[in-house]
Amino acid sequence: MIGKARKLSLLWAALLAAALVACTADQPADTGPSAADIEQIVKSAVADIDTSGQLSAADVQRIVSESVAGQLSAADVQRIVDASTGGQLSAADVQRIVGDATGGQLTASDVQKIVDASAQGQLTTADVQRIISASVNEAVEEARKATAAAQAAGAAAEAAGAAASAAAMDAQKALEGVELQKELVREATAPAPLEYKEAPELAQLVSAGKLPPVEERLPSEPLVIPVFDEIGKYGGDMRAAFSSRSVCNQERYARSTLFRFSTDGSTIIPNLAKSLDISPDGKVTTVQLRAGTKWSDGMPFTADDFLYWLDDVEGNEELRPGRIASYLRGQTEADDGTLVKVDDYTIQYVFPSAMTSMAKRLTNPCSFSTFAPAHFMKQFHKGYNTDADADAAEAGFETWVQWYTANDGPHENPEIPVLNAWYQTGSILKDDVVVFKRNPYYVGVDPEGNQLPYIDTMTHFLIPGNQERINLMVLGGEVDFQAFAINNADLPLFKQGEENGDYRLVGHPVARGIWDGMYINFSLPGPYGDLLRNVDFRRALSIAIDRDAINQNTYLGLGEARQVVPLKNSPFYPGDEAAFAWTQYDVDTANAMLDEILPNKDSDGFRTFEDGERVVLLVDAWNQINDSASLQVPQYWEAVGLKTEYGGALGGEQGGTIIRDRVQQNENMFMMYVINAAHPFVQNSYTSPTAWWSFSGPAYGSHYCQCHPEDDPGIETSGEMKELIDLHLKGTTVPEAEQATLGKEIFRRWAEDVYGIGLVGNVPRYAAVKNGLRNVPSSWMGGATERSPSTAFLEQFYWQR
Amino acid sequence: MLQFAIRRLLIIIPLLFLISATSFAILQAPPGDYVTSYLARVSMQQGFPVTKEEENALRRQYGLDQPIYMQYLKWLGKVLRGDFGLSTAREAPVNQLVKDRLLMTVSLSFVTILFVWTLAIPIGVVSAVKQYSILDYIATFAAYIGVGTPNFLLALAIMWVVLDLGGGYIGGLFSPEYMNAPWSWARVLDVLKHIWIPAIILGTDGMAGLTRIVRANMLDELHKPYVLTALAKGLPIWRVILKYPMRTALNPFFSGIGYALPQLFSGATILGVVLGLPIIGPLLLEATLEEDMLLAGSLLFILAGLTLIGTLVSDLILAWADPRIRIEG
Repeated sequence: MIGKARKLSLLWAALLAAALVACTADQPADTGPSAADIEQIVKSAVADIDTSGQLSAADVQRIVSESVAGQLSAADVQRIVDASTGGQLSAADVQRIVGDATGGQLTASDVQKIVDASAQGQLTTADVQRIISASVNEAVEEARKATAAAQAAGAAAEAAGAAASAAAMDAQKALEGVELQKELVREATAPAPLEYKEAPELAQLVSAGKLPPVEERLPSEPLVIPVFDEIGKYGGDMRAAFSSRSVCNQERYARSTLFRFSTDGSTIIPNLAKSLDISPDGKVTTVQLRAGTKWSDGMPFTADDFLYWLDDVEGNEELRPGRIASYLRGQTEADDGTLVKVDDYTIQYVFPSAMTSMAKRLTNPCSFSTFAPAHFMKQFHKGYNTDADADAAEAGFETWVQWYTANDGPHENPEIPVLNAWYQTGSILKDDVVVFKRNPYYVGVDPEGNQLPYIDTMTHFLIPGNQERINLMVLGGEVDFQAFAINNADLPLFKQGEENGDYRLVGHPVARGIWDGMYINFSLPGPYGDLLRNVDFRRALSIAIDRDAINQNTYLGLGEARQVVPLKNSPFYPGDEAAFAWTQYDVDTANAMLDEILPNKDSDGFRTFEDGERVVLLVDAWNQINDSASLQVPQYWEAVGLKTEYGGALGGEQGGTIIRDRVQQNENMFMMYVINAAHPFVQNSYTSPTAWWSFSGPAYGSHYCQCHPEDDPGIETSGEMKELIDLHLKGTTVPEAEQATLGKEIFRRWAEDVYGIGLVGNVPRYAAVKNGLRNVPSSWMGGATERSPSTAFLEQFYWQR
Repeated sequence: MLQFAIRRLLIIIPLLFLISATSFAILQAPPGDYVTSYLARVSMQQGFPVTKEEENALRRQYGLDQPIYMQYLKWLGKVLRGDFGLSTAREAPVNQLVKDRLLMTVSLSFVTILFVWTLAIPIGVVSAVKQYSILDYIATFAAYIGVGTPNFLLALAIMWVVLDLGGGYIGGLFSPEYMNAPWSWARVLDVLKHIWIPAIILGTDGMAGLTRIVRANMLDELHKPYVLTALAKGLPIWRVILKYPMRTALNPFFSGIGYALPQLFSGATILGVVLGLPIIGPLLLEATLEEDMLLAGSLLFILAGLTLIGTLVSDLILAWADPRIRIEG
């Protein structure tokens, strides 16, 4: 996905962005030229080419300056670009200019695109120089003008050059805005198919008059989802089993958010939304919806559904008291953002200070956490249903708030309309099996215009706490696309069963990078806290562990010994040297380092504090999947004279109260967990202590978030953890390029200063895919934030029978 | 007899109060409540901390902000009106959740008891009458294996064998197409197709134990003079055995009825999880893990009620079946 996106030139992106801006410009149409006027201009310009073979710079400038105020369509701009090509600039010239102008910001493929677009153009070297500098600097002043000016510059250098002098702000930041826009706009304007087709079952309903025709059900610009193998056939059922009733996990199979992650996890692409635009100062994120999108009950999905959520759900003191929902939160309460309706299909997220991660945040909500089907939900809301209290009592609830909350998502009330490719016919909280049916109003189509999904129904089995049963279902071929609950420890079993169960195992990476990593509690008071805050102590503990043995024992050697760092292809990967720092198994060095810190030993050979009390380290596991690795740690530490106890694997994530309580009391030492190192600037509580469950320092986290100021004031963060928090905070306000620098620094520190002891990471995950299920990619990015397996695009799976 | 029954019924009422209060207190014992457990699971997935205000709002919503005795009294008041309140984790009335599973639980118990009795009694009798015969040794051996094997392990082994033989997955009580279907003849037949597997697995344990008890009781009776007299008078041996010693030997069955229901209620929990049975045991397990107070409390209440009623019923049957038993006090 990123490869395709990168193929776009800055120029081309700017042109399209300008077109987009033009389409949605604030000015009323009558102040600028009408669409017909522009049509005329373009036609005459094209005619010019026909006669002279070249479009003059002045011509194009006129077209552009007029069109900015008006309503030039993408197709029109396309024609302009086509028209302006046909000149004499050599590829080498452009390459050199681009390199000078942007300081290496553009990739080779970007340049190639520019070259392709203008190689045969009539522009001189100087012209292009100005084009580029204008397109960069102009963007600085204001994103909209910038893209417009870039468009102008694309053909007419004089005007753009003049505008460039107006540039005032940080060029890199502005360029970042353009970059992001480039990728998103391109997806949004993928050529829409000419005619639409639909599943036979829906066609029958249409001809019976029970459903409007497909053209009316789809938005004016549907989401075009490319297919991996070929155009599919309609029909079939796809079964999967789930090991918990987690709403967020289950939704990853069939969900629609405004944006989503691309298959390789590198790019955020539009989904329900058509496009995204971040203002140069980073404070305003504008999201365009697809006009004509409908909920699964046929009612329109508009900006009002966002406003209802903001004003009547989030803004209702009874329903949601306290601070605003997490997706609108800034660094502190004063930085919290809000949501503004621009028109029916345009909304803006507005923050008082820069907030550059909004797109990533909008990939993430589960259930209705940024919008809700207002037309349906109002019946439960006291603001709209004056009998809400009485209705609630009748349904067995005490208050309308309870009643509303019990109907606040499709997992609770199956009647609720959704935007997903399949809609639910049961509740995953109450039922043991839920069937999902094709949503006749789903916004997605394949490149040939067939409305997606191909597969008729999905059947989800909810099997909490019974891994054996899921294993047997996989082996027995009773599931078709099993992306969860395939434990690596059972891989030989699953591999053996491939033929019998008629499935294949598909491996994929997981973005979080580290599978077994031990958080270290920096906020622990007393002598143990002093030990844990001693970097040499942490390093000694790190090299005392034989990671390769754990990798073999627990992951069949599939993983890699490494510290707490993200995957190698992540922009935040700090480099191999840091990633593998202090991972070399070396008992002698570990002993020597520990002898400096804890020289005294008792009669059993265990190290003691100066007062003779034995040092006893405590390892806990927050999740059962870390049990295996956790069990192996104590032997290595006891081999270097440190008595170690294992607190057991029933951590907080499985409802274990003892370990959870230990964290809340700030008494944990080493907490083994799957440390999510992939998105430090979206969810900073994993890699910096900003919440009570940040195991790096629960007391620091409590103090930072001030979640319980009276009964849990916490401890003010200082030293390296304070710096770590600041690095994370800064990252949410800067553009992506700068985020990479900050992210690398964060994980360099995590690895080299051993903020946590990473054991094994980079372990692939496996999915069991039934043979005959087609359009399944050979690999996709896994991870909770990536919402895998949505990165495999289940909408375009189909059965080849 | 009637007086006895009424008196026993009256005793049940204060006992139920006591049991429900105790179970409420025990459920409250672990640190935290549903909200803490919910937030630990959810806020971490979402990656954002939750403030005290939000936490309190959730508590208010679920009524967890009130002192424990208030929560208890409120719940008890509802229970007396036949309403077990709201499950916090499932966001649904407990009545509805229990109703769905109660029928399956009772059906499974019934089939299991049927299986146990039809096999345990004859085997027990035969192995007593033919003591130390090859039949007795086989029955004894099988019984020890049955008692010694945890039934969830047996379930796993059977599932694996069936799967390996190409029989597919055999868990659950319904085929997928009937899982959410309304009740019909086809659905009942579908249940019957599935229910015998868990019934046999569940029954193995109980059957083995009961066979041993019947055998021991029979051995006690067989050598008593009245049996000898009957035989000496020329009565056919099987008639003697069935008419006299067996009746006495059956007492443990009647006293066991009282425990059969509650045992299946909670005893089949692990098997229910392993086989994916839509019965009450696994629901109780999930509820305690999620600290879903009202659901767990209500299930324990029902369990206690069933135990008490079951004991009463078995006492009455015992008194009716065995004339030697007198009802006193």
